[in-house]
Amino acid sequence: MMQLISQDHYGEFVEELADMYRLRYRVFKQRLDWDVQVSGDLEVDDFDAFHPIYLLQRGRDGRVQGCVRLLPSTGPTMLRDAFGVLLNGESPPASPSIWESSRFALDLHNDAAAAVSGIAKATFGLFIGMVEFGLARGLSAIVTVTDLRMERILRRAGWPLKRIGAPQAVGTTRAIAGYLEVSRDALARLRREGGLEQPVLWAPVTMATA
Amino acid sequence: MHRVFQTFIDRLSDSVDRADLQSALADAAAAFGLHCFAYLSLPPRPDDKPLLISTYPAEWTTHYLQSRYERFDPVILQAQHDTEPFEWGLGAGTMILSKRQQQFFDEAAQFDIRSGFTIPIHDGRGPVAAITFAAHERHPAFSRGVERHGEVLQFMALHYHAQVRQKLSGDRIIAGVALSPREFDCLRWAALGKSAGDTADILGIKRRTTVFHLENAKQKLGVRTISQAIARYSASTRTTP
Repeated sequence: MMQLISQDHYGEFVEELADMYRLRYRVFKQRLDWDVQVSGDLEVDDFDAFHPIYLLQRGRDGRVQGCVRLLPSTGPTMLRDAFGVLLNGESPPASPSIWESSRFALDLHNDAAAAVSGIAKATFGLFIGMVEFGLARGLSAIVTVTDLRMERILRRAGWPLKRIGAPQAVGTTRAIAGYLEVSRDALARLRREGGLEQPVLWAPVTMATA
Repeated sequence: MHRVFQTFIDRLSDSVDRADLQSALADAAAAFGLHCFAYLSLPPRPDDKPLLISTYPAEWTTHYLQSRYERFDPVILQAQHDTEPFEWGLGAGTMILSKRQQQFFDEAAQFDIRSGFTIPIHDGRGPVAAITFAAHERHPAFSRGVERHGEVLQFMALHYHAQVRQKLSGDRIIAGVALSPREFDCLRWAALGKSAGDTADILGIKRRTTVFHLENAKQKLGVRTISQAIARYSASTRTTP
């Protein structure tokens, strides 16, 4: 099950958000050892202060197993304010039809990791959720800062990253910025590759895309 | 609880200055039955003063900052040591205190600060801030409140820290551009003639991380060379000493 949580609903979903910050702690602090800000077992950074929209994925057991953070490119973004060096001298995107995704994280139980060509179904689910969100908002693209490992997964999933500049070493990882297409084609491709026919987001969002 | 958190988030995003930030957290704390709070942000350079936003008596906070108490305040020391939130004072926890620290607690008690719940915030290099919710005395309601709402308080603390960093970063604005704390530090050391390697040693980060932050700073300032970035930095620090 997927949920979209925007600022005016943070209060209502405070437990889900706390679950998400714990998931991010496990993935970014414990597994990837990134230089992130933590308190106890929660990870929250400065960009969470700009009231992003969060896309959460819950597993069968009800806990948050996947998440991604979405911010409009017309305001502060990681690419503009923290990773400008990845722009290769270009201006950062600033358009109502482009949002930025960051903090893409998944932490799956082994038994939940049903996979298609080595990529978990849950991964496809989150990608599809991002495209459905984009279509509902009338976006043309999602810009993102990610790493080479994730870039390979995106390519294999049929949602290739259109690079902005060359990869650069950032801390322990190789970072890369690029655009992800938001279109009905991209949605159809991901659904086909992932073997997921149904919309992943709830009805009102799906209806907005119709 | 949900409504308190939502109101807190909304008020934080509407805050423009320190007074707004102070009352946003004061009201949220009050709604949880916590009578006062103190947010202490540790400076990146040990000789600088920490940033303190609190509803403690002004007489105490002034004295605290002037005496540089953050350097041996046992609560801050524990927050620097561990990222887990903790309760302290009046029988909670077991702190081994030096004579000076015992005196410190005695002084705080004169201002009715005897126990509290402290939430440490760390980044990749170590402690950066701590938020304490304090009580006059240690009654069961305080512990119960902390137990029940501990996670939300922790969550609020992290959001608070992020907002304070965003809203009160005026001292890192160069030529109209806000630099991140790391970018500002790297540029400041470059302006003092330090190489990327020296700066990396001083800040305890990798050389290539220093180079990365300097490249970002150049990009933000719209200049091609470090010398140009340093010139912008120097010009801006001359006008705002």
